[in-house]
Amino acid sequence: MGKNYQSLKIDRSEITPKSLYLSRRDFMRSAALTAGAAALAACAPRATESNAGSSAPVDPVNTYTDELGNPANTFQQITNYNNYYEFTTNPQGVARLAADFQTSPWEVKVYGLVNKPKTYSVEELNQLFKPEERIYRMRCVEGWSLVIPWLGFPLSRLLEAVEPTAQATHVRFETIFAPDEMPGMKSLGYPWPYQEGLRLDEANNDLTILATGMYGGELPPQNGGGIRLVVPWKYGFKSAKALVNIELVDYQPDTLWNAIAPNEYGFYSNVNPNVDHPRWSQATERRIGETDRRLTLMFNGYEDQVAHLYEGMDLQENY
Amino acid sequence: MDKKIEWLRLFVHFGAWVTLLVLILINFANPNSVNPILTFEHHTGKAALIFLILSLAGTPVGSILEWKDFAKRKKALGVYGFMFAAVHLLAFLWLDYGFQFKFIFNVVKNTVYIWFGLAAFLMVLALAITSFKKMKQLMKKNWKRLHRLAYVIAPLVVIHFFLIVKANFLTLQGNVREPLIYGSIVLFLLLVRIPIIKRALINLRTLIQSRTRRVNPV
Repeated sequence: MGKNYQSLKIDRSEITPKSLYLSRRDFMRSAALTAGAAALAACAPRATESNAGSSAPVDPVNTYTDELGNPANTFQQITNYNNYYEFTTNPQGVARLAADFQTSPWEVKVYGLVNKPKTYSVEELNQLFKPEERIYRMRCVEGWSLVIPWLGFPLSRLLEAVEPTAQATHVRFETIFAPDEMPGMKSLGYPWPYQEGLRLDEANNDLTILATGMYGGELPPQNGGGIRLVVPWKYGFKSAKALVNIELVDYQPDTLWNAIAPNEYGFYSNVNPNVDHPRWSQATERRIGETDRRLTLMFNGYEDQVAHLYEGMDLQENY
Repeated sequence: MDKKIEWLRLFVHFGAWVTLLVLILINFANPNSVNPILTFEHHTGKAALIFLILSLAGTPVGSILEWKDFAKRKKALGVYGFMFAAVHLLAFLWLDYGFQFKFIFNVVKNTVYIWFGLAAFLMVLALAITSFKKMKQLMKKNWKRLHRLAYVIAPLVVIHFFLIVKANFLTLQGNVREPLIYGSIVLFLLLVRIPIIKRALINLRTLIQSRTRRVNPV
């Protein structure tokens, strides 16, 4: 494991006292309801009771399409197939195990090489940066993909607010450490908490968002609620979920998968059909819900927006 | 009429077909199965490995635990292992890649775990088509030689499994638990075939049996 892999292991209880959970949760609900009222005209209604126990919420009708004309996956598909090893390595088992995971209130600390470090609550971020709908493809390194209508705001706007210093070159992202609520975190062989990183220019690209919602509603716990990173031109594991720490640093941060298998999961991990995983082909993918495979697109179809970030770089070397 | 019903035999046949039916239903007749083709591939692969492991357990269970009825089922268990491997391969070729051989050739070429899976499949195919009594008589000594491939097939399948998961097998980091469990079982079943270990385990069994028999007070 690299020398800069930090395991700060910040417990949720250190961030928010337990007594605040309920009141703020209710506040969040009512805030979301009023804020969502306008959005409701544009998109189909969605069940507000996100963790209504065993009864499945009524799925919102899918009216979303990405810019290439691909329809978004259904709410049911997006919320029932998740790679979220903090809960379980079985993608079909995450929804059940995450059902009681508290995603609001949620706070994320932005610090490091910045002039204005600050701990934000998700509702504060939603008020400041007004989440917008972003319909993105997500390509998993395992060879399957989804189209997901996120609600989020560009990470660049948050970074602008905290004012990175001239020394800052990279952004380090860290997921919550909550082994009591996330049973997978008790399994050995992973340097929890989950950690990811981006180069500062990647982080500032307009495609890079922090998502606080999905399908016009809250961000379900299995999809990375309270708040997650979404970097659509990279393999899914780069888009870290349940963020509690965002640190501006002057080094290339270690990432969880890179720390485990450095020759297989590079720092960049850009979607690239021409660079295979050492053990499997990345040429094609299965869009969830489809029978035929699709050809995987360079940079997951976002080549025009991001190719300039890697000009002159050997993508075979910098996988 | 007085022929004894071979419950174990029925159980093996019933178990294999019910497993296949259940795997089809939970993946393709279940609205909550979101990625059914991939999941079905995983499930049938695991079923193949389990049946091959049970088949591999036949001989030691018969000799060490003296459960001869179980040992007699090793052929059927192995053939069902082949059946699940064939369904697994068919799912890959047909459901996953729609018999588009241009893609299939490319993915086979670039995917290391498929090499191990394919090698294991070709071997288990050879065992399955020579599993008939007639073939055994025809092949004589060669039959036994050929069927020693079983000791190679199971490890190949375990390597195939290891190579699919996101993990580092050298440091045992990542998603290694399941392949590690199956790998340990296969390793154990191979080790108990070594004469010294086998004899030691038989002695242990007879010792335990003699102790338990002496429980009755004089």
